[in-house]
Amino acid sequence: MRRSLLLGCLLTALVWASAIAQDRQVTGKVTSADDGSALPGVSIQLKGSTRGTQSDANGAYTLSIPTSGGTLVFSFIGTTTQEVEIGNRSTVDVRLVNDARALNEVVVVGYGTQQRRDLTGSQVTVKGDDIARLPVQTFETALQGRTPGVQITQGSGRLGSALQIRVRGAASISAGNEPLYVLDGIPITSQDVNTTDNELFSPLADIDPNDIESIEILKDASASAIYGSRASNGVVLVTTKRGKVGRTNVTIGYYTGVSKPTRLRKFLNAAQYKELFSEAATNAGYDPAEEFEGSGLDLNSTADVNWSDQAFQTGSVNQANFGISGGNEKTRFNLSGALNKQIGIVIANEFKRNNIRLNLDHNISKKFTIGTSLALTRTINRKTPGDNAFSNPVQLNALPPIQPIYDPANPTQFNRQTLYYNNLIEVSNANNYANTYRMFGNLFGSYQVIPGLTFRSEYGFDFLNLQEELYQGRLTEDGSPTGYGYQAQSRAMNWTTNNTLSYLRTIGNHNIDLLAGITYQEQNLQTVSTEGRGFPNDKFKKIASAARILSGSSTATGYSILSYVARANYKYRDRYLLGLSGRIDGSSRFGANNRYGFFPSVSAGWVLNEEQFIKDLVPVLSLLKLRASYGVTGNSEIGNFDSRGLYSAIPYADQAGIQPTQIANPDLRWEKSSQFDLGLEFGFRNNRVNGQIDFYDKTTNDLLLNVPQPGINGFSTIARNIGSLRNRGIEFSLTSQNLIGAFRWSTNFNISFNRNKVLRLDVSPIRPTARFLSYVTEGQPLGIFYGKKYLGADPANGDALYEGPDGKPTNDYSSAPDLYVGNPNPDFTGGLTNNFSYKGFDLNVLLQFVSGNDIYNVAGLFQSVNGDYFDNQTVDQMKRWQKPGDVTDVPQARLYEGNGTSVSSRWVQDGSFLRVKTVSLGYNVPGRLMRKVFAQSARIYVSALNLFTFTNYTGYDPEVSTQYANSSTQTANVALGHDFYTPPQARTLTVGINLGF
Amino acid sequence: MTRFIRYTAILATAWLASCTEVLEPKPVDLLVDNLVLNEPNDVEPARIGAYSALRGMSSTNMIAGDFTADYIRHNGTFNDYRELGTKQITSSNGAVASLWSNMYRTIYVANFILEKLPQISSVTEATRKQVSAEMRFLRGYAYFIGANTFGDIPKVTTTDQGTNRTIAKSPKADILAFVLEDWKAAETDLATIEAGSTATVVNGTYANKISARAMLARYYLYQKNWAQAEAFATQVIDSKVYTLETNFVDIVGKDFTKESILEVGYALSDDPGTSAFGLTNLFKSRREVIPSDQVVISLLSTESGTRRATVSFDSQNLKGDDNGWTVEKYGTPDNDNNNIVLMRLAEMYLIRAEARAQQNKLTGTSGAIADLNVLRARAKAPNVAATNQADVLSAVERERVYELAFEGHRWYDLLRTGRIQAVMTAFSPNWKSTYERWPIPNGEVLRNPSLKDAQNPGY
Repeated sequence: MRRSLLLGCLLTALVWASAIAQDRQVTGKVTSADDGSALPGVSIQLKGSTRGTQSDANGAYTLSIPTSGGTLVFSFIGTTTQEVEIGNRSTVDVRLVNDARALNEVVVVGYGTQQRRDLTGSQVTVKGDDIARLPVQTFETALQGRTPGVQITQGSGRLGSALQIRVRGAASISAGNEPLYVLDGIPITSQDVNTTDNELFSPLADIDPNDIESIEILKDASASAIYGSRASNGVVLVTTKRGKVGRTNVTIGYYTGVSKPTRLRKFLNAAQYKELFSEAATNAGYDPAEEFEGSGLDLNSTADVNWSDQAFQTGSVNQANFGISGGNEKTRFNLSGALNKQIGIVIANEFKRNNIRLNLDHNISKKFTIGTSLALTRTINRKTPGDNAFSNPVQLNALPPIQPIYDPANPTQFNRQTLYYNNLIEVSNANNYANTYRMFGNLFGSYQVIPGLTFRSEYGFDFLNLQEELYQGRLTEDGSPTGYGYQAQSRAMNWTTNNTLSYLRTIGNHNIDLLAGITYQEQNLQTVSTEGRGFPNDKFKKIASAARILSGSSTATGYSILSYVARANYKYRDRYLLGLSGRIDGSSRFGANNRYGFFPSVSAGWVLNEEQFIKDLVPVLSLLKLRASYGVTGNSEIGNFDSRGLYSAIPYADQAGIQPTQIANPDLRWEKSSQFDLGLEFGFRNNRVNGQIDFYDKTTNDLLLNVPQPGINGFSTIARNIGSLRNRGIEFSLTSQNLIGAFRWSTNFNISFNRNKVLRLDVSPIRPTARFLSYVTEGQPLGIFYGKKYLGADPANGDALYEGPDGKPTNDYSSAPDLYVGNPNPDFTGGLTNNFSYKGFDLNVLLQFVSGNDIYNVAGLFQSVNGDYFDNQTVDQMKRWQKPGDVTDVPQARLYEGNGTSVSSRWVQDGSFLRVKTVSLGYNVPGRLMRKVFAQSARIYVSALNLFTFTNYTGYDPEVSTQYANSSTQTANVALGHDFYTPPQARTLTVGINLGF
Repeated sequence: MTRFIRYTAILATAWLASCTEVLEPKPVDLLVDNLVLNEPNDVEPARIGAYSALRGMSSTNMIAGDFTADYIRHNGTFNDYRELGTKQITSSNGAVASLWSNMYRTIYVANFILEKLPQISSVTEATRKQVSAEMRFLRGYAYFIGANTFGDIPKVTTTDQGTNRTIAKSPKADILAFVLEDWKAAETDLATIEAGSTATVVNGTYANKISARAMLARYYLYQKNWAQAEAFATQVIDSKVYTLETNFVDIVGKDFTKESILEVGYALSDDPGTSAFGLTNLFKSRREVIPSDQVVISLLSTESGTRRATVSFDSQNLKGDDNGWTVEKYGTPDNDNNNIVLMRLAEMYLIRAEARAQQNKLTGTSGAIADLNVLRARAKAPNVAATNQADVLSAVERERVYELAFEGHRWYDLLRTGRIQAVMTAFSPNWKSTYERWPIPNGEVLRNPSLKDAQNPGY
């Protein structure tokens, strides 16, 4: 179907191309307005036609045009597009002005658009073109390093894995911390609804990055307060591409590539393993051979297996996409689609997405416009088991190298007598598919009631249907002895309507822009699931074939939000800006006594460069804008029924029972953030150098906490709004066009500093699980590492030492006090982008850096414990203490004796890293060559993602956050920077081509 | 098309008017406060819910009785069991917190039903009386275990959250007096069961007059009121509602046997599986704890007879420190045989034997030895050879091991007989008198201002 469609488009393009008639020639030269140098590769298009060309190496061009003339459109990267009327000239020379950093660019804001110059809030824009061709599964990944004030962490290298996004720091302990995602004005489901494990996958992977025109991340209260009770974590506005008036553009693209893990960890080989564990057994007074045998190991084995490498493979990525867009004054359209297939770097991990989108706009009359967007996506993810599963391939690194992988005598061919589960069996005997069927859609009508006054009504939906299909064959650990099957269907439906009236008017020196509206959203999530055991053989995988149905369930939940929004922007003499916005949110999640909340913001801006005295003082200034804002936003990412007193059905030995399960709190409400922002935007020399600096202070009060109460109440917790925390920081970004002209070089640098501090907790400090170091306590940042401080091995006897109560080393673990031993929050994060272009070539290099954060490798408790149990050890354990006088941080090897094996700072390391995030080299094939194949443009490119990573972390990848932590939202929020058999990121190399017709 | 706009505008206005309704979607698979327990039909599921709460505290009840004493050895990786196995129990132990919260959950649910029942009109008087008595039976059980495990504990008698947040400890004796009050009232109001009843599931699940008497027998034994203990045990035995199984192996492997007086049931649908504190998981699937060498030796002795079926041996398990033995009383992971027996008839014989021996009634048909021999005969073991009081008491203690091993009695038995120091010091070098009580869970001390500085001594 898709193929014939593509073919059709191609044919159409051919017909058009051949229809060009030769009339007369126009020639000319394109130069830079700044230094007069020739500009090669400038696109020159005859407006409203398919005729076009590019300037050559000397900036010269020739184009045939109709005798009647017309208008030429000159466009070039980094310059303002210029339109020139030809008239009856035969030579048209043009000087292209350097792009004034798009000051007059229109940006998307909540429920509308605004000129960038007039913004009084803080928001960051990423253009769709910057991220479209990266081999990622979900678009947030491509934002890394480009967004000051927004920290984006991909916790795991599993395909489609959900990212952690923190806009100006984590603002919550127990409620959600992820921003609100709004796609073309409609809030969408952005949190995984899977029912099988704690590993979260991103439902945003259902959005094709190619479809994105722009992404706006609203950071301060002025920008985001219009989203009220859901704005505390920032708002991400995603706008998709729409058709434009003009010729029909057809593009097709394809890329393919391979991927490998960024980093691997080294474990003991057979000889080292035997040496270390024999020593460990001897030191503990055992006979090594006997102890090896006791654990099913053979000290004389000749096997030498690198188990840890078995978890990984060379992955691949392939994507083909097409886009057709165009239209006339009456109707515009954009039709696009893609097919994406990726094979992960972790064995048996696959991701596939097929999607199609149609965006359509039509003018019924001059006053009345309607439009729609419809997108259908199917995503299939073959998931690998979560970090904390014995079937997680990365856990193979715990297997002794002296045990062989294969056993010819076993029906599976695999050795099944291994110390832990040999989960390689799962590759062909188990699967876990998450099949998502997603539909995004909206329909809008916009009517100009009187000039300046527009009514817009919008209706949108987001249907997410997730089908989970899991089967564990009879030879697998969980499926033994007769197979295990699980099926679930989850359906998340979001319905939204927005109705707004906007009024735009200029009276003399006064500009006003008013907006008022009402919006309503309803979400409903339904899940049905069933599981069974006892399959006749592994070919029967559906539950219908199960001899025993273990369970079946259906549940439903939902919430609704009714809101009133209003905004007023006022501008006086183009230089004094004032903005007011507010939202009233009523949410079903809030308690009966606090059903409605009001979220206001106020902001002001002063465009100083418009003032005569500034112009006189610093004439090179092209922009100097000072702005400030203050506002209140909320976080309503709490449970749907947290405020109610609840009872649940309690089955008791096949009888129906009821038990109270939750105490009501009718006062329950949103978490409330008050944010102050002060920003300065500047530009020099027609904005060749421009940047901004922002300072913010975001204090969140009324933090929702499950307040532990004495168990004697019958309930050990009650949800209450107490506690507060603060994020404050500085963001700085600078863009400079270092070289303009034929050889162009531009640089963008951004850096952000955020400091997080829990101000008030009112409950006892939170320790999510005993195995983690994460801790929440007043006066410290969220998730600070708190535990025993490890001091290495005692040179005298090889005992593990900890910092004792008197500050002196002690070997008595229990007497050592808990201390602050690390901080998972970075000191600063940022990125550096360099773009170079010369003639048809362009090179883009993006560096990403994160500095000052610590990582705690929880798996160290098993893999780096100087041979305490038979788990294979990391190579650094060979540095163990062996004789008095040895100075090392690895204690003496003592089998089973727990010498330094308890939770401590022993596995805390600096997690700072610098990453060559993307490198992309492209070549635009000259137009005259392309026309021979009836194409308008062609770009071929090679690119690399995560090319190099520089870090002192000795684990897999320093960008890590184990989803083992996700047992609850709170744990996920708090257990930052923990590594637990987590797969590293992929380093992906791709080569691709884009053709335009 | 303008109609479309008008329509939208009307809709918008309609929302304004109906917003309160719009914002109250009903939870679907949960019920909100005002929808529960207002009609007679709700009483039955609420009652079941209360038994479910009892079930919630049962596994940790067993853990307290068996793991704190000399029955188990730690063989796994979980810290909670390492602490119990190596006798280094701390106030942050998960099992301690679980028993505490589930015990008070049972008390809460019982109080809740006791408060709500009088408000529901049109419930028959008989139902009200029976269900109230059952709730007092359950509340009494929770407090009995609580007082014997933790010593002095807060006494909660209502569901009022405000009051309950700050209740201080009451002396153990007061709690036990409250237990007696509840159980006496339960004994009076609960329905009786006819002798020879074959409804073993009902008789073992729900409280009745006989099971209340069985509880009182245990109560008086703990109080060293030998005469009353003997009297109540006799009433239970003579009622013939519960009768001994012929083969001890059925006690090990089967649910709801004829002699089960109070048992909490699991079906396949709510199998404890690998849930925290699930006994099947701890004993069998994970082998987190294994029977100690000495309990294995006891159970394999001639005196124990067929009761050796309580444990099994598999040489496959002989790795490291593992002795290869497994506790069999809590079923297998995949089958529906994971019930927990809180009380069964054999205990009545043991209570009566001990009470009689304490009163120096040793021989004859109403002597202690006769009661012990009933159990010996069933176990195909030789009769008791003891003749003097001390030896008979010692035989009772041994018999309780053979018969009731891993049914949650050992630690409580050693405590009430005063043998704890002698037995436990010999068992573990880490033992100290602190462990004669469990600690108040750490969280409780932090959260309840009245428990500040009221931690049990030594923790």
